[in-house]
Amino acid sequence: MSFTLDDLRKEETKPVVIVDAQGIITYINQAFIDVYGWTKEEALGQALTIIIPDELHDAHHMGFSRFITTGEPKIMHTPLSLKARNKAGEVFDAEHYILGEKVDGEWVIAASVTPL
Amino acid sequence: MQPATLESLQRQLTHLRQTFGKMELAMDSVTQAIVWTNNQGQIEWCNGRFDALIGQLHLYILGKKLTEILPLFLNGTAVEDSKHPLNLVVKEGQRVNEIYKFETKEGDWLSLEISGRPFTPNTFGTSAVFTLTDVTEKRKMEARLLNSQKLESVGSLAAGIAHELNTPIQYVADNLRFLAEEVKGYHDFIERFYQTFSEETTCPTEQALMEFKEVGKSIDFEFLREEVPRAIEQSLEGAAQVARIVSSVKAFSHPGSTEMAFSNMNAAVENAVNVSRNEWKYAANLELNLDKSIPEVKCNLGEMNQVFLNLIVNAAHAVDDANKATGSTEKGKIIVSTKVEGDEFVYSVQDSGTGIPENIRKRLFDPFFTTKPPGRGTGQGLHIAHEVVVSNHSGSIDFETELGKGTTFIVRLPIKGVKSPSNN
Repeated sequence: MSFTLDDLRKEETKPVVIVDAQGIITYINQAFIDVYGWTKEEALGQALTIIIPDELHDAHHMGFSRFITTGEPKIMHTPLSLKARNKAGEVFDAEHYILGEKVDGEWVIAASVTPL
Repeated sequence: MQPATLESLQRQLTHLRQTFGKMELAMDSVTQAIVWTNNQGQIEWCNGRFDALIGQLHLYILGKKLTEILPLFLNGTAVEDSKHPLNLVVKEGQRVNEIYKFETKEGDWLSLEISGRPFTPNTFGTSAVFTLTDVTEKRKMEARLLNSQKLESVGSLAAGIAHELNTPIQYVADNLRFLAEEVKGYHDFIERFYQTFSEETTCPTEQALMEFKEVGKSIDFEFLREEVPRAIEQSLEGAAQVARIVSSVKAFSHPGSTEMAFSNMNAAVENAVNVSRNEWKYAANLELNLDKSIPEVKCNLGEMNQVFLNLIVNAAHAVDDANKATGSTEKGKIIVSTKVEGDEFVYSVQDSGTGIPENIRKRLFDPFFTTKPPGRGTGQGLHIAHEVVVSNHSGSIDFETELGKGTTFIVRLPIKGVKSPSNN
């Protein structure tokens, strides 16, 4: 089943995070706050890398940049088990569902990141 | 100084994103696998070619130790963690460039040329970047080339070897003819002896004794006493010479193991000298300076045989050319030496040949480069020697040359088959 940006904006049970084309967090839902520990004030305006373990930052930057540059998704619209990190610095497996949509000509990337 | 505005930082970020995006696209398009790790040896990024090599999507490789994802083999044995290129780079700070074997998920064995270098982007220690080139096909091609050159050299040496065999066989045959002739005399004498002193004859007649003496006189015993043992000795020497040549040809063509194994280099060099005798013996006197204290050297003996031979044949041709150029009737000189220097085996071939002109020195090891006329060489000899020594044995091949004086080729091999860290 394929989700849309709107679906993830309406999602209430799974933690959702949305970033702009620079990878800056523009939206998190209550489930995200509950699971990951950051408040809206703390998370909004931060780089998405706060929820990514250090050793995955390079791959994230390269892959994210590639998508923004080409618009060709490699890992989107399919559930993936990847590592995630919470505010306390704990690293755990989480099911990632990532999608990208253009809003007013700019890419918006959204993901649900549910701990496994 | 004005602080950077948010707008300019955003422009920079957008630009950097595009640069990263293009870099990832470019690095995904190359045929080499690329991977880099952090200071813990955890994979931080890899390209699509690396994914294909490992047989896993990179998302599931990221963060894992490169030593676990990429187990390697060198000279038939598994590379232990401390010797894995990752640790040589990250822990020892070395640059590496080595060919390893790797087994794919499908069970295929690949030859990977792995080149790695350390870098220290921050204070968290040394990280590593690796490029991996699949040289399996290249190695197979080289093996085929080596084999075809071996056949070529065996073919061109065949006439010389036949000639070398002919000389002892000829004097063995001459001696056997002589012995056959003389044995006839002995036979007549012995036959007459039995007739004269048969069991039925209690006392031979005067006539029978006279005839027996006549037969005895017709045989030159003094001559035979000296010549028969000599003919037998020479025949045995001839047979031994034939056996030596055949043994050298056999050892040269079928060195036993086709893998890296500890081998007697002096014996191999002597075999190369023997099988090429007809190439050098008319042009040069060959001096063998073999250091008897050399330990066995880890190498692929079949490949090294070819190197030993190629350098001797080249020296013979260079001396022959010099003799012809100067019109000299005297033979030139070739000195073939082996010795140990530190942890290296050194093989050198010095000739009193023409020397190598300056303008071709750089191309000497190029494939198909030759200055020889058709039929005398296809330009593979030095190229193959270089590939065998440098690529397959982590050794070196160099030369010193002076026009009109001669050339010395020097081959160095690590005795234990791998370079010691100080040689890297």
